[in-house]
Amino acid sequence: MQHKIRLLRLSSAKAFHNFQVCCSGIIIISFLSLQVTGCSAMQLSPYQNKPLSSFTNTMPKDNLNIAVQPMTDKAEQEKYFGRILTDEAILPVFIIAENSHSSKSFVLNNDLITLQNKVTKTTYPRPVKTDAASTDGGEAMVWAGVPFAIILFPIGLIVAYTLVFNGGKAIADATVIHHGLVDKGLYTHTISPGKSVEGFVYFKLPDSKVNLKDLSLIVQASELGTKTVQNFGFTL
Amino acid sequence: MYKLNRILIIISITIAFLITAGCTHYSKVPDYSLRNQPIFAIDNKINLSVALVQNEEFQKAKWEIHAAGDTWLLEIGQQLAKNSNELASILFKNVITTDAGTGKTNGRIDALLTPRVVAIEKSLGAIRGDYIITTIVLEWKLEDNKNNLIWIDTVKGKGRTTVPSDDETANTMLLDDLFRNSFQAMKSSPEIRKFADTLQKLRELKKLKDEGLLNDTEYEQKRKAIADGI
Repeated sequence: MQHKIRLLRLSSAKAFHNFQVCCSGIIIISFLSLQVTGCSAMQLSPYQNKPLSSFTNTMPKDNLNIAVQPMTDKAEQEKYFGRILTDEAILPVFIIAENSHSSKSFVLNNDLITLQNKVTKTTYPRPVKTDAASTDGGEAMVWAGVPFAIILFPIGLIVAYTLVFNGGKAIADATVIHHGLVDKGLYTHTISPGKSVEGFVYFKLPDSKVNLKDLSLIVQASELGTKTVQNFGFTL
Repeated sequence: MYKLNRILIIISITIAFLITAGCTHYSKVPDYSLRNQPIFAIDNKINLSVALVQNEEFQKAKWEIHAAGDTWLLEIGQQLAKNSNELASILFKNVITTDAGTGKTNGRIDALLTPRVVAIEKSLGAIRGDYIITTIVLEWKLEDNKNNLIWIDTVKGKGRTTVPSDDETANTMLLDDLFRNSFQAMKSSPEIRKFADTLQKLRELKKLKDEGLLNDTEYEQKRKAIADGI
């Protein structure tokens, strides 16, 4: 009888040990799975633009109609650009131009779209992509994982794993943001009769607290052939 | 024994990090050609002799990012240069390629066609199944031989894949989309057709004058009327 009890105790101790190992394994695997699924790079929504007639800030000249709309809504910025650009002192302005002339073509040159401060007369530059998102943070996380893995092995491996994956995600997210800015941008076009062009132009402001009412956007369009220049000035 | 194992594991981790750091991830670019593809067929070529201006920057266009000690590289300039040449040859009657920007190379040139890479961006994925999207923004400019602008447009091309990436397929998609859009933009441009038609009319007028069918005054009047239509 005693022999049987001892055997039972031994087997239950072994089973308990196996149970502990299993639980630890499940916890680690769950933790790692959560890490991996949470590390998916962000995805941006395509911008659903509206027809020109629905814009309030429009200006027609010689049958060329231009409308502008700064994107100031933070939720919209997050949705379409993956970042609150205005917090980074970047102002995205949506521009749409429609040529309803029967024969004239116009050139809309991206380089000739400027944003000025009406008070200080400062012209704001275009941002560089690292103004919107940098890979530095992700890079630092990846590199920080190495000493953790080495010094605090084996526990440090989990920390290192977390840092490397989150760092990788931060790097991937930065590239998604850079790509989104290029993808939704407005470039230089010839607007043929009956055609329209649209996209975002970005400006780098000195800080995120600039009053939009002080800003004036000037869009220059020239008639192809005669080179007659039309200036479209907007108050944002 | 335990200590030895621990040391070996730590050495392995260090070596693994040292090996993987500093890698260059080349995105494989296929040898793409738009020749003989039905989508790039055109009934009547644009009646212009064009100098295709490809500068060094265009021919060496690439996308590059350095992060966490690694480099991701997409060298696509060579394919852009090759296919721009093919596209111009499909669309225009005569094409010569130059990197000088003058167009004064061989024979008569009506216009200069200059492609310029405005931007190349590629979004990286973090884990399996994430999208990797590459976009090229390409500007096309056509000027007459006095550098007056005839037409300018910017087109985009996109290639898409998922992690683990099939770069070759994605880059084929990218080049295909880019040159399809470029082809459509030039083929459907009324400005380019109008310029070509005007030049043709001026050539015919000159021929009439050379044959003595028009005097100087008549020629000048008609030439001005046609030129004003540009």
